[in-house]
Formats: sequence, structure tokens, C-alpha cells
Amino acid sequence: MKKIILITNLFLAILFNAQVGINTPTPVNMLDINGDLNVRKELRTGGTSTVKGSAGVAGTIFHNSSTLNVNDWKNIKVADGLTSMSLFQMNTMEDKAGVSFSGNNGSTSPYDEGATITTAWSVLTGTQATFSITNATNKVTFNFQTTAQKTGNGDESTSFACGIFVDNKLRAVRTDVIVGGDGTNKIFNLNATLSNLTPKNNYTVKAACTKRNINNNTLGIGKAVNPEFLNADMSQSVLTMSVLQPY
Amino acid sequence: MKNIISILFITIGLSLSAQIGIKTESPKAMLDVNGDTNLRGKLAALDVTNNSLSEGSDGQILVSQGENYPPTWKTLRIPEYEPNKFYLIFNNSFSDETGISFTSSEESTITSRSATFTKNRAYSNFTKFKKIAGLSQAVNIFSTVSKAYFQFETVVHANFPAAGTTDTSIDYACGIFVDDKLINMRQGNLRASSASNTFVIHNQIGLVENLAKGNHTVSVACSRLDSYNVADGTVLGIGRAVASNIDSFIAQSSLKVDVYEVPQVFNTITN
Repeated sequence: MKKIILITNLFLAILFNAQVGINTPTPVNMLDINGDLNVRKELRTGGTSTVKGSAGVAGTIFHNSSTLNVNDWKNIKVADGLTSMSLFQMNTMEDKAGVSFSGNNGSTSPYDEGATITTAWSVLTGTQATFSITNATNKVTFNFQTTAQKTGNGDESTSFACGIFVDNKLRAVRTDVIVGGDGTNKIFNLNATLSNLTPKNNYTVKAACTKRNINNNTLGIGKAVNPEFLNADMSQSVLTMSVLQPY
Repeated sequence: MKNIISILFITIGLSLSAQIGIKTESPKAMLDVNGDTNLRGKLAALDVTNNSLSEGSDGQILVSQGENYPPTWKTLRIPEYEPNKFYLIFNNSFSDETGISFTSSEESTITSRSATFTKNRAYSNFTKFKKIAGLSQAVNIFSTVSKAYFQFETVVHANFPAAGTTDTSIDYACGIFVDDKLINMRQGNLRASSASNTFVIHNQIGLVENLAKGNHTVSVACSRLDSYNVADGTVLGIGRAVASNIDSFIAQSSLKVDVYEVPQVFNTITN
């Protein structure tokens, strides 16, 4: 049997001048409830002996302001349209170290979606980051740009590929060719959209590149291999990513 | 009147250790108030992370922590909208691994590019253009003051043999359309080189201001415009591999859509 104390003011107003503790012998505020509070009707703020407190307008939220002695109700504005895909996470990374390739030609086969990263790929270490997915409906966008340069074997062309790896699996890739004399460089872009990744914390993302047919050239990606035409500031790589999800 | 206990404590603290009901005989919480509650001072909530009572810092709001936990003061990190400033309202991004391709006979018959490729021109005038199916998508506009930004990337590929002494190349163009009206057009040229089956990465950024409020459809359509010293049977692929040196995964297209708006309609918190 629960012990019930019913306090009524039907015929008697009750006046406490001391602090009241419920389920505590040592209250620290005027009313100290060591337990839960059930509110069946309005929670009013800012009342006095003569003024009834405010229950807030529908949609306002309970708020603390350091300039007031009481809590108040705050209006929150949410712009119309913020209901579709929303930007949950954004990041941008740069890499000035870059990677370079020389020696034998690499594979010139196409690449498979979802292939695991191998030693043929060199990671642009500064582009590494993590992101999280919390909703089964999602889009992840990648925007990668770097500069590639060839040197060492005259006018012979050099081909390469750069890809985006998520949890070390290839999720987007483009190939490109540098044509021209020694020191020729070109801007490489890769924009890609992934849809509906499985919700998970801390996906890793990185950009990595590989050589294809380099024709005995030295190939630099995000790296100046012929400093006559390029330096590390000009050749740097940038990877920007965003995670879009509905609320 | 049954079981009424009036309590009058003037000078000493009151401590009650059972559930208390105010205007109810069956309290369902440590304190159950069957009516409104008036706060003349501030509400303090237990911060379970350091076991101390907190009234919150300036500007904080009370946020539920779910069953069994006291609510906690949190800072609401959303922008205070200022007049006449643009905010990111709609964004989405789409990809397509199917793409489109054009044989020699599917080349465009448009005679004057400069007269045809004009802003707001209807898609029906773009004869022999093909849409990239996966990039036809809905865009929603919520304000009469808006800027919609489109970023499109694809790979353009042709099954050229290795180039001879005469230049071999194909002109192509891609347009971004909203509601089948041209927003932005870029043309390019794919040229054969010493290696066969050449390809280029095609980048394009377009924007349109102040679309009508409501739903719109964005789409990307491309065409093969002209061929120079090109053998019959040469196929141009856009967002599609037409030779085995690359594949559809490498050649895929991406379209990112951002809409910046000056918000005109505001909602309160609804859920």
C-alpha cells in the first residue's frame, strides 16, 4: 500500500516559508524533488503574487536567460523547406605531400566498384577523414581536386587513376591522361555521389591514386615532380565531403 | 473529505519520502501535480555527467533525455535567421551509371548553336539531345528569392582508334535543364590521341535564380554536335563507357543540387 499524502487547498491555502524536500531530508532549492515530476497541466513561468505565470505559446520551448530571474518560453524559427535532405556533416581536407610513381607501368584495366584497396594505390594521407551515417536514407558527396604532373621522358604521355575509398573499398574512380612535354601538368577532378550507405559510426574516407601507363615518366599527383613549372602549394589536393540525410 | 492532511511548517524544513499528489489521490510520479504549476524562480535539473544541479547557461533550453533520466540544459545550434541573407535550404545529390551514347547517325542537326543554346529555351528545340535518366530529379523551392546551384560531372568517351596525321575529334554539349528549360550549357571537344579510345572528364556548374515556389524537375541532357575525320561506327558515350579501357563505374555521372534561399515562411517546432 502506497502512502499517499493529499494536499488540497479546497479550504486551506498552505504556506511554506521553508525549503521543501520530497524524498530528501536536505532540500537545496525552495522545492527539491528527488524523483520525477508529473506535470498534468500548464507549466507556468514568471508568475508573482498578483500575476499568473506564462504557459508559453504553442511551439515555444523552455529556455534559460541569464538576464532574467525566471525561465521563459522562447520562439524557435525553422525556415520553410528544411524538411528534405539536410546537411548533417561536412568536412574538407587538404594534402600537400602528394604521391609519385615511376618504374614499370601499372595495370590499365578498369576498376571494380567495391574493390579493396591494394598496394598499387598510394594514399594522399592528408585527405583521410571519418564520417558517420545515422539514417538509412542518405547521400554522401565527394568533391576531389588535385594536380598531376609528368616528367622524365619527353613527350610520352602518362595515364593514372584516382579514387575515393570508403572503409578501404573503392566507391568512385576516374582515370586521366597527361599529354605534352616534360613538366606538363593538369587539373584532375572527381565528383561523386553515393546513396544509402548502411548506418554506421566512423566510416573512413581517403583519396588514393595509382599509375597506369606511365611510359617511363615520373608521375606526381598532388606533388610537383618538375619544380620548373609547379610547386607544392600549386599542386595540393583537396577532398571535400558532405553527408545528407532527412531528419 | 477523506484523508486530507494539511501541512503547515513555518520554520523548519519539510521532508516527505513518499510520492506526493497535489489534487490527486493516486500520484504517478514523485510529485504529481493535477493542475498547472507556477515557477517564480528558475528550474534546476540534475546534470548526471557531474552529479550537480544546473540552471543552464544563458540561452540554453531544456531537452528531454528520455525515460529514467532528468532533462538536461542544451544549447540549440540552429541559425538565427537574418533578413535578406541566403541560407542553404534544399540540397541533394544524384548519380547515374547508365549514361547515354550516340552513333554517327544520332548526331545533332542543329545548325546554329549560338541561336539555339540560349537560356530558358525549351527542351523541345534541342533535337537529338538525350537525357541522362538517373539525373532527372525533383527540386523543391520554398521562397520567391532563391538561387539553385547545380554541379554536374561526367566522363565523355569515344571508341576512337589511335589518331593518324589528321585531327580526329567530336564536338559535344551538355545542358542543365529545369522544367525542360535550359539553365546552363557547356560544350566540349573530345580528340583522338596516340592511344585509342580517349575520354575526358566534363565539369559543369550552372545556376538559376528565383524559380517559382513549388516543385521543379532538374535534368541533364547532352548531344553529339559534330564529327571531324571520324570513321563510321564511332560511338560517343557520355556517362557511359563505349570501349573496354574504362567501365561504367569509372564513367558514372554525378549531379549535386544546392538551393540557397532567403526564408520567407517560418514554422515552429512540430515534432
